[in-house]
Amino acid sequence: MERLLRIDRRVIFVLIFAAVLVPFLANLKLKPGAPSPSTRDVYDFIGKLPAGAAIMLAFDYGPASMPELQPMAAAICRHAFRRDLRVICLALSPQGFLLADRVLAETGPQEGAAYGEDYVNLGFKPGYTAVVLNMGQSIPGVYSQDTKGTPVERLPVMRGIRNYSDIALIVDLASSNTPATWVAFAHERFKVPVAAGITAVMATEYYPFYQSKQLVGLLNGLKGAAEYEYLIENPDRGAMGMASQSIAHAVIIVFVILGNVGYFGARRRRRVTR
Amino acid sequence: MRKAIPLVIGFVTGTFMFVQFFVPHEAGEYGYKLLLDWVQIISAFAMILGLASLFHSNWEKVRRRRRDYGYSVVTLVAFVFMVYVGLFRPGEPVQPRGWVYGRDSQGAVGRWDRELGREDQFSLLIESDQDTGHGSWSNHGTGWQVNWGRVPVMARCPYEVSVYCRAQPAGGPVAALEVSYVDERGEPLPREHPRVEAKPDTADWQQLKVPTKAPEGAAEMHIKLSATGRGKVWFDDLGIRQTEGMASISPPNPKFDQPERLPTIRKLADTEDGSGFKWLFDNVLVPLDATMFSLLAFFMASAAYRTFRARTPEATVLLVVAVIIMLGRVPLGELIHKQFPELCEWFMMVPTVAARRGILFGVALGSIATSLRIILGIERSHLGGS
Amino acid sequence: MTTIRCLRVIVALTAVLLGSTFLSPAGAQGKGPDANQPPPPPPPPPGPTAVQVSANPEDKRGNELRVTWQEPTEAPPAGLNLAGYTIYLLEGPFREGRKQKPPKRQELLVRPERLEATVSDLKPWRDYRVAVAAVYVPVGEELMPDPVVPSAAANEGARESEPVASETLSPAGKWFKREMSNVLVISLLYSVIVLLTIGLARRRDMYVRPIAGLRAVDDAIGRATEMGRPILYIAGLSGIGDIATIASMLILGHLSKRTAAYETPVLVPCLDPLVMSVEREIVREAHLEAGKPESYNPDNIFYVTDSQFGYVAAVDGIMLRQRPAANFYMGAFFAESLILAETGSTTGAIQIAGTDSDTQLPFFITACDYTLMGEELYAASAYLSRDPLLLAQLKGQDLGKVLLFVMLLVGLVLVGFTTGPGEWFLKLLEAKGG
Repeated sequence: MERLLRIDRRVIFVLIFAAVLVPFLANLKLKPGAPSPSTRDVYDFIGKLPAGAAIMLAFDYGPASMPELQPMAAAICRHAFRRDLRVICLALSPQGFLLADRVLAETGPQEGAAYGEDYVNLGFKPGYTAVVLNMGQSIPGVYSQDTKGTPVERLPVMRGIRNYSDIALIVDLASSNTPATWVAFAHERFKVPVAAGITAVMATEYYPFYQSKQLVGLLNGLKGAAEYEYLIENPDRGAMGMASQSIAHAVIIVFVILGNVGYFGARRRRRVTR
Repeated sequence: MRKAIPLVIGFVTGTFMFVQFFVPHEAGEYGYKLLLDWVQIISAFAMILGLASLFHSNWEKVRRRRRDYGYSVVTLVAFVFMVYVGLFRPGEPVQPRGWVYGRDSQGAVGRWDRELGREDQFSLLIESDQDTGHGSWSNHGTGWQVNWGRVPVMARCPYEVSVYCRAQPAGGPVAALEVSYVDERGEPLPREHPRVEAKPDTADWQQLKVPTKAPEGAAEMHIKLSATGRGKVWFDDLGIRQTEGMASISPPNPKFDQPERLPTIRKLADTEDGSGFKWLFDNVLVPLDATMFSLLAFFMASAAYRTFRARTPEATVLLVVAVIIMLGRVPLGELIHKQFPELCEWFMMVPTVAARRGILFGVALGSIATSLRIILGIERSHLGGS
Repeated sequence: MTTIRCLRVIVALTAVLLGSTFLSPAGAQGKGPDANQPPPPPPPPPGPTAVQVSANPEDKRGNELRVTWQEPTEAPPAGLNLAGYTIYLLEGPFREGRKQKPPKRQELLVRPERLEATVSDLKPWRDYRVAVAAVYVPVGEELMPDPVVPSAAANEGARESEPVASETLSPAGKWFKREMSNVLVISLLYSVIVLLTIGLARRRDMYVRPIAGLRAVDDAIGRATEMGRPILYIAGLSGIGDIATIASMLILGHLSKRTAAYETPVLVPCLDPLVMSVEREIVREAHLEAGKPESYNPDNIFYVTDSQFGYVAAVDGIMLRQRPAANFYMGAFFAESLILAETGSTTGAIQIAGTDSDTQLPFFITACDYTLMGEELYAASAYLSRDPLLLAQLKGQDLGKVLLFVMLLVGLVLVGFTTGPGEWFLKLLEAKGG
């Protein structure tokens, strides 16, 4: 019994590694059941926008959070392109705009959307509070050109976009506290609807915003991404990650049970020997 | 005095920040942004201090052969290498003077061909292995003044722009010549851009010609040589002729045979990251970052195993809730019981948020009180002495 | 070279033009002096009257003006209809004989019945005049804005009156957000409570509940000194603007003062160079105060990188190679908290954490020996200094909590009534704008 209390860390590590890897090798995808209301709200909001409306996608995360947030970005882009919405991407995190490029290069051609006409990547601007605030006055004033150096007035996708009043929804994909900034400055001051896609570990921080309707919806971690993928009927990396996460959680629960069995066994033996 | 000045600065800026929060006038926001700008300026200087500290501490370790100095060698080499690659962009080819390959290109590569040309060995090449590949060369936006390929024009004057092109495979990619104008300040003039395109033959050089007229207010002509589709397209021997009157305009570097001047300065001045830096970002930084973050999964498992033991009633509650959340977040939970995800959501939305709000109240009050005692100078330990 | 070419072009063009004039049949016949004179332009159509500018009462930021006017009194010219107005902005007051900046075309109003407009994006304190011109289009047509310059009319044959300018005025704006009064009142009330308790502290002693994590600080220092190993101090991964980082730097000051006496080194790897500079200053002062200026080594406080996980890799390396006897994690933390704390726990160091990042608290509680939760981080500096004035602040915080608790209770009761008092209470507490 006592042996169960002293399982080597490396054994746990190897099993977790296998649990994560196997679904990717076997291309295993799992459906996450009925979508949670917070995911459904984002989907419905985008689903109700008229064709030609513009949504703003903020890539406020770095490569470390890619596995959770990149599938969300891809699913939202696909949904928007299918509904003929315009997608304006930007980044408050210095590495975010490169990740935006990756998502757009993949989803744009697949969904028949063209750069400059249906979507644009405006890139990164430092000083995030000031950027969010100033866009309320003028978006071309903050981003005069896209990442390729094309002036925004020459991009058809930016036609008629002056400030937040021309944006139907801001979706902030974030691995830090940027959704709070978007809520405080873009939503509260300029009344533009804001939704957020966040890593699972941050979820508790943003549920209060969702409850108070300051966020129209919330995509919560890999589960949120997988739910969105199934809502747009395009299971992809999120669904694949869901399988990995399922098995990994099962492995952890098994180890927690083993630990407790060992703990109670050892306690009983101590009582008996006493 | 040495402590009084920082205290006064702290008091004045702290009070200003508090007051501006309640001021809707633009002056308040202006002051706020000004202070943010100052912080950014100070940060830039502090960054120099930081880099000096990084270099110094590792250099000292190597110089004195301290324990584990090998790691410092790795750090220093990586540091110098990244700075070199980022600033000087080794291995990036020299560009033809006055011409730049466009950043709006997708799936196509632009190259200065120094082996094949119409009459000499120089031409501009665009190559793509995708049907949708698109790329263009143009005579503006090189970013370094001695290399600007300016073509000054006279407003209302008619011109004819021509260029020779050649393609491989024949009838494959489409070559195009497009002309647009900018005014004195470099602002594009919103008019129709005259454009001509063709599917050139492999064997012979074919001439593309486009007639155009400089609109009112035009000061410079922008020429764009583009190619779309799978294959290779070469451009050579550009010509501009004024069709009324006798004058002719010779564009800079029309035979594409002169290299750019001072390429190092162009590389230093360019704000866009070089290809080498991007490669390092994608292939070194991204995987390393992801590796470090993924350690979390392993540590989470080992920490859960070690600490989730039902030692006390509180620990038991923690254990049970943790298992419910772990199951509820994945499809596995729904297989066990249909209500699992809902139960999980309830825990996240109700008890967790309640506890969180409690902590947040304390944090908010604590941070206000801490700010207050720094602004009013009650706390002085950061200045030395309490 | 280009200038010479341009000159050549001009000379050539002039020659061609002159040649054509002299050789043209009209020139040869000589029609008389009137033929060369263009016909006099028709008089401009009538403009609006009574153009007046006033401060916009809705304008809070001080960058808007309102302009009103009356319809032209005269009838429109034959074949034309009044179709709208163009608003021009003139910067600076009008001065006789001075060159005026050209007016900025601001907006085209396509409804002739609208007789007022708001001019925005102005600068406060600057003088402006607003001019209005009437726009006429041929009868039967509708006024169309130009697709390229939307403030100009695109209709062929559209005509504009002379702009009529207003008096000079500068935008006013407002100096207090009235909707934020509740926030101001509560902030001031709480500040007064804190200051009053500090005042009271001068007169009598106060009891402060012991915080286990802070009592362990001395044990940690003792252990490090005994083992001859360093202490590792992480001041969070946030910037200097974060109050948690500031609280953490205050704790570092107290810690350094104590370790200076034993000459135990404190290693402080930094993520933000600005934080590093301030921390060096704080630790140097602490050593001076402890009477051990010679034991201060600036190289112990060093910059690593600003990449989150690069920093984690470096700190984990330090833990595994230098095996510090005690690890302190104080400040704001993000996803890296468990990676740091788990690595630290495998090295067998005493670990004391303190953070206001509530999402990271479970990880620290799991992997550290002691954890300061939320506000305890801010209290730590006061606790470690044992300064009665600082400790009194904790009392003030408690009173603040009582105030919040009472408000919560009142709210809980009143919210039951969806109308009347409940609605009033909700409105009272609603914070609008940030």
